[in-house]
Amino acid sequence: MKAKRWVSYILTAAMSVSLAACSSSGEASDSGSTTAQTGEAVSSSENHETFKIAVLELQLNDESTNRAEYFNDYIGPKYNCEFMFSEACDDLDSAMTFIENAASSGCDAVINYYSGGNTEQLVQLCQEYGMYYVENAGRSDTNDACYQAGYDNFGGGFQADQVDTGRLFREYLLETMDPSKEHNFIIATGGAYQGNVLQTEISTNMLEAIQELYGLTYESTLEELVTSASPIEAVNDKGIAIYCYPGGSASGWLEGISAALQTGKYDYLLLAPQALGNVGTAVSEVEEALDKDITVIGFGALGDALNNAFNTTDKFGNTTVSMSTIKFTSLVSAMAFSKVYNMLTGYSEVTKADNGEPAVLTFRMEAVTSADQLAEMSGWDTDGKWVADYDVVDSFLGMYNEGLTAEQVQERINAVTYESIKERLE
Amino acid sequence: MDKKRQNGRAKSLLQTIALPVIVWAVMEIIVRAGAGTSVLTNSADLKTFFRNLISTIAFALAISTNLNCGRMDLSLGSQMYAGTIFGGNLALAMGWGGLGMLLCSMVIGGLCGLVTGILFINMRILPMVLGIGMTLIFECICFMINRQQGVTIYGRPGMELLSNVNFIIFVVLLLVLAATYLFQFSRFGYRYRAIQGSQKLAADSGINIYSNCILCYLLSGILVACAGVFITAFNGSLSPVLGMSSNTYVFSNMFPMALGAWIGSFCHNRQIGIVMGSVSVTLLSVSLSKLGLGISTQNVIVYSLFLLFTIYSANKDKFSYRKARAARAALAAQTRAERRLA
Amino acid sequence: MEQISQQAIVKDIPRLGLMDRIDIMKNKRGFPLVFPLSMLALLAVIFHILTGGEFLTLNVLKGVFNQSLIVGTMAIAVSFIYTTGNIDFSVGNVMGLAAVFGVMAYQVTENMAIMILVTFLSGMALMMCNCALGVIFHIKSARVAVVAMSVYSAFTVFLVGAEPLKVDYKICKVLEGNFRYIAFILYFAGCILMYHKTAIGRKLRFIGGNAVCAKQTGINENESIVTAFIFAGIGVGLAGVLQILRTGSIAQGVGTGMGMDVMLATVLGGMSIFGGAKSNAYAGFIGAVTVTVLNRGLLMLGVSSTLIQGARAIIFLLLVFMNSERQSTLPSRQQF
Repeated sequence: MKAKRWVSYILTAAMSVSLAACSSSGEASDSGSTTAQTGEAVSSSENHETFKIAVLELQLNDESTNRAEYFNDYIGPKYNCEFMFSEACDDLDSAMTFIENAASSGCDAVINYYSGGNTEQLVQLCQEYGMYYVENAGRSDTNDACYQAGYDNFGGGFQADQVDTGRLFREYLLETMDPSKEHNFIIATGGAYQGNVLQTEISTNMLEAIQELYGLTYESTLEELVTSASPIEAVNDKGIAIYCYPGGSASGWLEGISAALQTGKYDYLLLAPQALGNVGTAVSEVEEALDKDITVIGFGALGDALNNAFNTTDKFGNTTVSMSTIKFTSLVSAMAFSKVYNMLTGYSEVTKADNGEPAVLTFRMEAVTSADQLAEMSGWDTDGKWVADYDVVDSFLGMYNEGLTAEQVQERINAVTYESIKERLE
Repeated sequence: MDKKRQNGRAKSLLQTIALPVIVWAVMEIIVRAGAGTSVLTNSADLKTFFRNLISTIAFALAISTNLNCGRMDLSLGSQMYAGTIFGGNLALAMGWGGLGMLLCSMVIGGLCGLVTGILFINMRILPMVLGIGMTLIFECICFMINRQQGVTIYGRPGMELLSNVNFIIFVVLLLVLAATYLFQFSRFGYRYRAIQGSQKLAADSGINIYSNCILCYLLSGILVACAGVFITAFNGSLSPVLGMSSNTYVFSNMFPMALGAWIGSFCHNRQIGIVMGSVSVTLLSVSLSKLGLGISTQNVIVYSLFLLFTIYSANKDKFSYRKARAARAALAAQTRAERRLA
Repeated sequence: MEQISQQAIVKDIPRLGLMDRIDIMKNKRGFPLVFPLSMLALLAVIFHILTGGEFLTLNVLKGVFNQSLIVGTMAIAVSFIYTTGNIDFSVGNVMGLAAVFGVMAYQVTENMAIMILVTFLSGMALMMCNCALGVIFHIKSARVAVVAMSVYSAFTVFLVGAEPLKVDYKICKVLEGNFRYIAFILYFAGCILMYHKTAIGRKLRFIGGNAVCAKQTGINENESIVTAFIFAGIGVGLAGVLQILRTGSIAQGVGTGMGMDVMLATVLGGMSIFGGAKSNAYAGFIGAVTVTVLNRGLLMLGVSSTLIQGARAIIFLLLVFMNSERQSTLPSRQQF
């Protein structure tokens, strides 16, 4: 009996060792806090003051892994910064808990990727602990007061350029379809009903693009359609069938999308959540069953899922996904980093707009429409081929650019286009 | 006598298939009225139905394997993730296709179950508590491999087999036959039922309750991994989760498992019962999707039905008692009336 | 001759091994309190040493206490239910829905007192719904919890919508200070008194230990279970109030998964989820503090957030293993 008890001790110890082994093997992808790298990387550090920055994540996925690699392995050594990453914070309580823990661990600033609906609480909490704060959200009714309140520690937000994203969808739809013919759409609105900022923006952009194409008027407001927790028909004066379907990862979501496609009414599936890798099977099965071509457009991230989606074809010979908007994680991360780093190094004015209120920086997404184009981008935004390299990051920092303003930073962000990246990385 | 037995068998067969048939009939009417279509209309529907069915059957069987012996294993969801992610990536790396992925995942799922079982019989902490701990560990391990990407099988060669209806039916039959043999006819099943009756008595009568328990954990690990493969086949990928989110799969499969136990009492075969329970619940879910209801609304409907069923099953003895009492009262009244007439 | 008999006596005295001594210690009355507290203290000291003296500071300890309040309050609440051998892991969703009702009441009345009252009453009413299903319809509480989790969570989604429901954060900050400490201490002290010093607690422990025997001594099981759920409801309602005061807003995901955190804390604090005579009302809070100490300490040590979950699980299993009584057969009970 005693022997068995010891066996259990040993088994538990073995499990600990296996966990430790796993952690060391996956160190490169580890989203944990790591100190600045030594050796060659440190030699490139220019004796900057050491800062510790907390990163509050909403989800842990390939994007957050990519971001952790960029911050830990690329930004950290050069700018002498240490990063601490949260678990997936899906509610405000866990976000606040992480910020409190980060303060105990000596963090100087917080970059928040958690939903932007609670700016006031988080800014105040950071202020209480003497930390700077920026968030992945734009300026809206819910946080407008924070922009006006004059918090010293609030560096504003960063988000996708909504107008430009809408343009990408509109241009693609105009190029590939005939507005004189009737087309019907399913728009998967993802977590917009839960306040997910990016998915709200993309869903709105998609609805606006269709609105403009057909010159139609919706009976409900865009907000009502996008944030509905139940599937809803976007009834309009032109009789175009547009079905907004919320959710994205919960069990039953894909069955719902599949059932809607099987009505045979819809020939376009527009996805706001990163689900391009998930809908392939459901769409191709419906195409086969109904002998109907369905075009899939969505938002994706560079990685296996997008590669597969562009490299597989349906029974009509079309790629599973026809068009995807993507964002460059390193560029978005560099925007966030530059905001906090400017504040930490005493260049807070770079984060302010002309009126003295915190500025919102926006990034533009890129459209991918073919496997060839995706192949050209192969390896981008990974180690050694970061879209936002040191030159780009330096150009956002007040310490290297005397008299830099938020407007100029925005111009420099806008200058990072597909063509300019291609030229630089090749 | 033979006729009586035949009638009994016919009745038992009818009772076994009654629920799925009723669910299908009712939902067919509702879906036709609400959405103007059928529950199952074309090949895409059939594929979705069978894929969901096999994952529900496998998961429900896995839960019931330990639960019948008073062990609630909350780590089954995380074992599913571990089996499918490790097994899937291994099969993809080796180019073993859909069948290879299924087998690899089942082996690794079984290993996860085995580790949990060995820890359980050695540590002897409450199964639900061990389940919580193991869930956290398996989730953590899944998250640390393959750059947190899980497994992506859409568009990979050989994986279309996992969406082939004939293959799915073949696997369902194989699972049910294997489970029926193991639990009804094998030495393991005989001992399992003895332990189910009373663990103490079984142990005193010389049954090795520990090896039986380990086998149960092993089996449930294999079964959940099988479920995970078919879930991944439809979704195209399976991404790891943290914070005990994998438990969702355990809770959502409690309904077919409970229905299965009830139906199984009619045909004296819990495995067949679970198949019928799973068919009923899968038909219900597919129909609710056809009606275009949101996930939250679907959950409210499904879990309300689960609650109603639970109320019925927890009180059915009382219903039978009241029915018998009413029958006795009627008989007494009839006898009194006859006497008066006489 | 006398010498030989003395030698024989000496030989007959059983020699206790380390594990036997540990087993004897485990059966001592104060062990359920001393062991988890010692482990908590040990963890704190280890983290203090490893972080170079940064852990045992007033700010960190205050933060640990504040972070443990919500889960700790709910863990104290569910200890009444667990004691009777019942399980309810829907408390997180109950707390969430109660908080939603409370904030909605605030948005209508703009009165904090009404918000607090509505949250309390909603928490109690929802817990009583769970209780009624168990007591009236004889459904096992774990099954009720599975249903309640999904249904309450769906209602929360319907009621909240895309934007979080907000309360005036300035008032929350004012109330958060002393109110939460006073409310928590009153509830904690009340529970300890009720649980350990009155017949109510004794009856609950008796039922958890042996329901048949308790019934035969004249204890009304249903009545006691209702009492347990009332106390749990008060705690869950209080946790809802604390949640609102802490965050100043309630979003759709509020309370999701917290039921499992509460169970984890309760077990880590040294209480059995099978209930019984050795149950207590303080285990949950000790467990909640231990979980917070682990999270915070590991994060301060620079352990990756992903790895923290695994490390927490291993420490959890080890502590539970050391604290549990080894049974001669395998632990099992039909709780579903």
